[in-house]
Amino acid sequence: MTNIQNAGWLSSPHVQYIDKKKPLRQHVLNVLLLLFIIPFAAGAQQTQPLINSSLKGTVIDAKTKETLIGAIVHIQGTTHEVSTDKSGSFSFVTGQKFPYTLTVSFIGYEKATVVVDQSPVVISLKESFNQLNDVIVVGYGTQKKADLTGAIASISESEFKKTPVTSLDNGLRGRASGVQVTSTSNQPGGGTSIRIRGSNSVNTGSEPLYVIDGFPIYNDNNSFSSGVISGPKTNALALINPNDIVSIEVLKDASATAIYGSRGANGVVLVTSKKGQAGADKIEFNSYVGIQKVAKTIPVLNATDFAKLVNEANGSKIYTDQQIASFGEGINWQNEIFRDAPVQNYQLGVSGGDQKTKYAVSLNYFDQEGVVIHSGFKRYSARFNFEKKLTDQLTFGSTVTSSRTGGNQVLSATSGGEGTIGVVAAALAFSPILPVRNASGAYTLENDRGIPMGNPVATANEITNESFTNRTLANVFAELKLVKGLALRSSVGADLLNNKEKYYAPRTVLAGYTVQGLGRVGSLNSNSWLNENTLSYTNTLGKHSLNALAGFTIQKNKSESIISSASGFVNDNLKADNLGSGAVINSPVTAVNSFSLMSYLGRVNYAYANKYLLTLTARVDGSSKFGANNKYGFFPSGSLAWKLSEEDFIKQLDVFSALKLRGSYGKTGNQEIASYQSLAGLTSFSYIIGDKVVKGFAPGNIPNPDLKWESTAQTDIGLDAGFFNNRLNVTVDAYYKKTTNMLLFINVPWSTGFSSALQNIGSLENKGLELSLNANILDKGLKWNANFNISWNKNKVLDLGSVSQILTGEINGYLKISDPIVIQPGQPLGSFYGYVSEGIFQNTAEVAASAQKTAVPGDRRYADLNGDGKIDASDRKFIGNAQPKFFGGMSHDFAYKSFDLGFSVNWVYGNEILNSTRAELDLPTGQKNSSQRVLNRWTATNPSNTIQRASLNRAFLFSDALLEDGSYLRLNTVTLGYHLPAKVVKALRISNLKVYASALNLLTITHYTGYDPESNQSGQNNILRGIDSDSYPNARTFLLGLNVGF
Amino acid sequence: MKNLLILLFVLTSVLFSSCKKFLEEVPSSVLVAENFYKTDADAEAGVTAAYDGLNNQTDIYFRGIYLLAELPTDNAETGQGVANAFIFAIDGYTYGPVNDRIYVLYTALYKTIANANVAIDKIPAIEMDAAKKKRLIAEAKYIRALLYFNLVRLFGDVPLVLHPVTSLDGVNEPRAAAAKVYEQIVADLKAGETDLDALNTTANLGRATQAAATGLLAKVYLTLKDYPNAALKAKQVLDNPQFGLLDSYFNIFTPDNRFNKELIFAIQNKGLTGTGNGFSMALYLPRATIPLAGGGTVAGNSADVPTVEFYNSFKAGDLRKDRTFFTQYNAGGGLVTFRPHWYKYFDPSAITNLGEATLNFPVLRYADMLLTYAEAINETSGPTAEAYEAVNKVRRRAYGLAIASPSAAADLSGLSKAGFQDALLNERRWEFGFENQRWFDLVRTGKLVPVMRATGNTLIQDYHVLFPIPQRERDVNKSLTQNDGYPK
Repeated sequence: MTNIQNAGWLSSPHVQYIDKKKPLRQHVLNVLLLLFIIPFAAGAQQTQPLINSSLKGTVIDAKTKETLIGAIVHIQGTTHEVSTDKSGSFSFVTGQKFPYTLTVSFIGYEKATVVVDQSPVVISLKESFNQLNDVIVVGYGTQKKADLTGAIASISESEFKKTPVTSLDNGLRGRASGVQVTSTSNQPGGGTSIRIRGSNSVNTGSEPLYVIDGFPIYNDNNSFSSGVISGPKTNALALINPNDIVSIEVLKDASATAIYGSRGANGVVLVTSKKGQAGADKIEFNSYVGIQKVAKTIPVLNATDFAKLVNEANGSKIYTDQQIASFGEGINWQNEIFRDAPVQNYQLGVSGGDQKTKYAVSLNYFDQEGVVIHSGFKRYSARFNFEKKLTDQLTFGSTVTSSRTGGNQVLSATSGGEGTIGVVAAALAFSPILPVRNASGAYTLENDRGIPMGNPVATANEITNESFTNRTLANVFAELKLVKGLALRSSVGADLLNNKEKYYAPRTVLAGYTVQGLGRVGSLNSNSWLNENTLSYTNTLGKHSLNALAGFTIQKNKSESIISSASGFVNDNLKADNLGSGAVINSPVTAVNSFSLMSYLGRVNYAYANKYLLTLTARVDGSSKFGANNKYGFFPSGSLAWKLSEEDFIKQLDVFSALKLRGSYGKTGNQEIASYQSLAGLTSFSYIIGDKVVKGFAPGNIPNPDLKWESTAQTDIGLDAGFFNNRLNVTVDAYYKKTTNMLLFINVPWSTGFSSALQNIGSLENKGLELSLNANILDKGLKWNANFNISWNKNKVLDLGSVSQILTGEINGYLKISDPIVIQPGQPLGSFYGYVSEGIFQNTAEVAASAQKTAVPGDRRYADLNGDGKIDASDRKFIGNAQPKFFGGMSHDFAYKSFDLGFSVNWVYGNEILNSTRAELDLPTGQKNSSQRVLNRWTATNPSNTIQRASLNRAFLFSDALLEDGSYLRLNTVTLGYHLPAKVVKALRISNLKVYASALNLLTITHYTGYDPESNQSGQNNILRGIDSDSYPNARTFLLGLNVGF
Repeated sequence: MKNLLILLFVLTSVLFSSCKKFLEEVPSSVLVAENFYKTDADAEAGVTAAYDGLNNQTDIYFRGIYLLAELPTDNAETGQGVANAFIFAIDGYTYGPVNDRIYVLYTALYKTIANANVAIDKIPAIEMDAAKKKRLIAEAKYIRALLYFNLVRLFGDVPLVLHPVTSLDGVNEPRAAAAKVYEQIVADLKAGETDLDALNTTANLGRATQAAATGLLAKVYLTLKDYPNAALKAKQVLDNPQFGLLDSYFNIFTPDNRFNKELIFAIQNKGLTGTGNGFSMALYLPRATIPLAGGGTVAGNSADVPTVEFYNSFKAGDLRKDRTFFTQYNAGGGLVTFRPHWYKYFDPSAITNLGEATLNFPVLRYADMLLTYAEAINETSGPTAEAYEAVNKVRRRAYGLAIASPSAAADLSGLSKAGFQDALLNERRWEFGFENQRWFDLVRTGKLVPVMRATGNTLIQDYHVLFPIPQRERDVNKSLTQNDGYPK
């Protein structure tokens, strides 16, 4: 790209014509360079127009009579168009003679066609409730919503902007049917996991593909971390400032996603950023500031009650009565690590343009501190969108987003068994008797009652655990209209990402104490480039209309990482900034990963009489990730739609203002596995021979040269209906998806030396129903808009080949709950598998009559399901599921005069959560603190049937007693806004001003006892879902905001 | 202009689509098997990969085996640093087929065997010095034999995998009869007796030698109750002039003295190399009690601790007690006392960096050969003079006496065969405390259940002489049966 800057090229473009004698390579080079030069050369070739008339006019809102800025006025039959300026006026100087026809369009208004025979004119536009006329973005193009044959949910800027969010994925929550958003961490900058129409896979990534201004990105939070920090990774999508987004389209069925072939199976989210509008230049300033408070704390024992528990569990007086009497409340460690935290956001944007040039520039600064001390997230971002029409045939442009995001993370949950206990986990479990700091001001190092864990305040404050990412997404395109209806578009894009992470545990905290300071530094450099070339053709012949697309794209990614670590520092002053000064320098770890993808794509949209619509789509993808025997995959889809509302028999009913029946079928793929899985890679080893380190190598996996795509076939039937002049729109979709040739890490016997092997094996299905409603209920004085959506999805594993069960391993936490979820044919993913609790043994007679002969009264009692007189692994069954029965969202927006009020809710119903936080807190061992529920523990005099007796014994079984109903209904946002009246605005010489107050996460109705029913410990993993282990607590946020336009 | 853009379109399309290499995977940071196992260095690296598993401390030596062979005996118990419920279960004999510590050891043993299998299969085709080739293969076989010996003693019948697995065909290996596993162990060790080096050069210190193979064979025969062969092989090592008892029991384990004539095969650990090859002392050193000179305390964990009964069982004057345990220490910040903790593996230079100790963990040492010899003789001929002399050498050293001179005070005498058996078992307990031998010795002599019952353990059953096959393994490989007593 630096070549464009070369003055020599710019000043003498004519030198660039191809000399036929030059070698071909030179020609190719020239051509590549010329992609950037053509515009300049072409710009010089315009001819002077002939003037026959001039026209001045104004465009106004038919109802309010307010002028409309940025409306597009087009002279029919010509390429001549202008847009209205700041005062809503426009003017033409044209070669046309009066009278001629103008078409006037403006977003959110019905298109008007006006015949003018004199100047000036006033054109009034009617507000539109008919979203079907909206043009929405589809893969590699745009389409009128009314002409869609696939299932696509569209979220507009106005809807999206209702909730101030950190990242765009968070903004999808509750907004579209079939889209379930769960946060992987409530930590500022924390990621999300999104499932569109259920999980399609067991081992392969099931996050949707994000296409940001044409650049496809898979949102794997892990692959954008150099792997140094502990705890959840920051959100890879946080680079996009949500304020820059103009629309989001969610592609759900195969008809819509097949154009993305091997990456389409999990659905596709198309994100389009704001472009400049022809017309007056606009300056916008948006800002909000707010405060976040922890939404919920978990009641734990105070020092007195804890001391009593310790004595009871030990069966001896560890603490004397006198000591206990002096303890009082002690420390509530949650109060020590939680805080009220500020959040602030500032955005400055300038946009505008004229007939030939459009631009939009924005700057953003976002700063959110976390509700847990020493956690936070910042974003600095800049965006530049530019488009230039060089001639009537040739347009070029670019979109560039650059951002720096990151902050310090605290490790909230426990990541290993012994020793590494997270801040939130430790705050719940640390002895309330111990002080934060001792008399001399030094931190209390660790818990003194048996479970080793560091002081949570010290761990949070003193450990450096930061991750920063610089990321630039840039795309340059040129579009050429060849002949009428035929256009060629070429683009070159790049995604440049640099991540730098630092970890330092000083000797003042448990994690760094043993090793006298532990520092790690990592950096990840991931670069992708993309070239896309498409040819599109549009034509209408009588009743036939045709739109066709063919293309070729190539993408290549290479990521390189390096991690260094050292320990044994003389002091903690230099932290991780001088690893060389450590006594122990560990071997550095470097890695290089790359993948490439080469694809051919095509699509045909055909409509007959604007009634019958057909779309055929296909993509051929070649991916480097797959075995030598299976590099290419073919992904076709077809769909039909019938606009019933265009038929007379429907028109006669006079019920529907729009009615369309859609059906689609197609196949898409999933390639989200790590690179090099088909090869027999070697792992490195080291040992000491002759008192020196020697290096070794041995195979690290069982190779699979036949590795290929996972493929998902989807059938979708949908109905779009509009009533009352489209003031009520209803969309219903039913689908069936079947994933086959799953990329499955199937367990192999450990006796092979390996634990799993990646195979294409087995299948699973998702079927579901989606309903969304959009209503414009009132539009006179009081305006009322409502959106509602609800989705049911049912998932079932059909076949795992020769494998009868996939075990999911241990989850985090010191209890080391093993295989809580089991994957088995006939069961949905996320099925909890365990014992059935039957309360607590009350007396020895109950014990004697039970299958647990060695138990004592006060122990937990389990059901002997197979009646063999003992409790063992065969007494387990499926006891719950982490997937909801249904979920959805609803929003209402009211406006009256200068005020507007909106709120949105979302809900999830019918899922279970393994609350492992509670499992640990409810165990009355006295070796760590417990929840206040433990006050009701079983004793000879307190016949509790829920909490077992106090005992040092930590042995336990995973049973349904640890599961909780995860259903919830959450009031996500409430916003009250006030627009300054037009007169005041004018007097202030600004174009608009709005102030608002918002409350986020104000209220959650749930039976769940943990911090947040939405939390999902294992991130984007398909297997371990619905597990809450000491998650970062959810915050309630109150914001004040200001939007000003100049 | 138009033509140029069209040309660009066509060219890029043609350029890349004709380029097959674009989709070829060329991993630049990962070695691939196809290009490896070609040279002398590759052969050595293949064997090193097998050795590496041995000093993966949490997996095999020492803690992987410790948790199964020392913890569930009268020698050891869980300390205050243990947080894992599965460890409590092993200590308390409530463990079952689902136990992550049993899983870890089982997995690591097979992983390392797999690495040895790769070396054994791949090295023959490499063009290199014939003698070295033979030696390297024999080293890999030695590691395989050592680990199968652990597997078969802990789990009984186990899958006998002898070749690398490169596809999913036939991965579900059924359990082979223990006798079959022992046959393979003996065959591998016999190859070692001829193909290994007699003595390691300085550059090769730590590799298995012929004596290591012979000595291990002695232990294998003893376990198989093939007493004549056990005595024969033990004697062969005892007569090897390169090996002998050190005068000082204490110095066997001193880091500076880590290559000594008593060690026949030892696991090599070296700290501060940055490669994770240090010995970690954190789990068995006391927590938050020993002050450091520069402030703070030694960051031990007190997870793995001896029983007080074991500590008290040592007789007065037995110098081994103060090497096996310590109850006080001065790390420069003042002398402190604490409950008995393991002390045998202690590198004072790593006191502030507990994961980076430099010391060698003995797998086979001269004293073991003496006691193996004594046990074998006693089983065939009762306590002969030779048997007495072997055990008494160990005892004399223990009491600080001249090893070769009879001592009325230290020497055993006048015992019945059974009395000698009991005396030997006790001697082994004192001699090899914290060396991961106790459970194996108790099982071999049939004493595990009575000894553990005597400690007050009511849960131990006869079937506990074998550990359960991991449930996960049985879930994956349907052909695997379970040991008696465990849920089938």
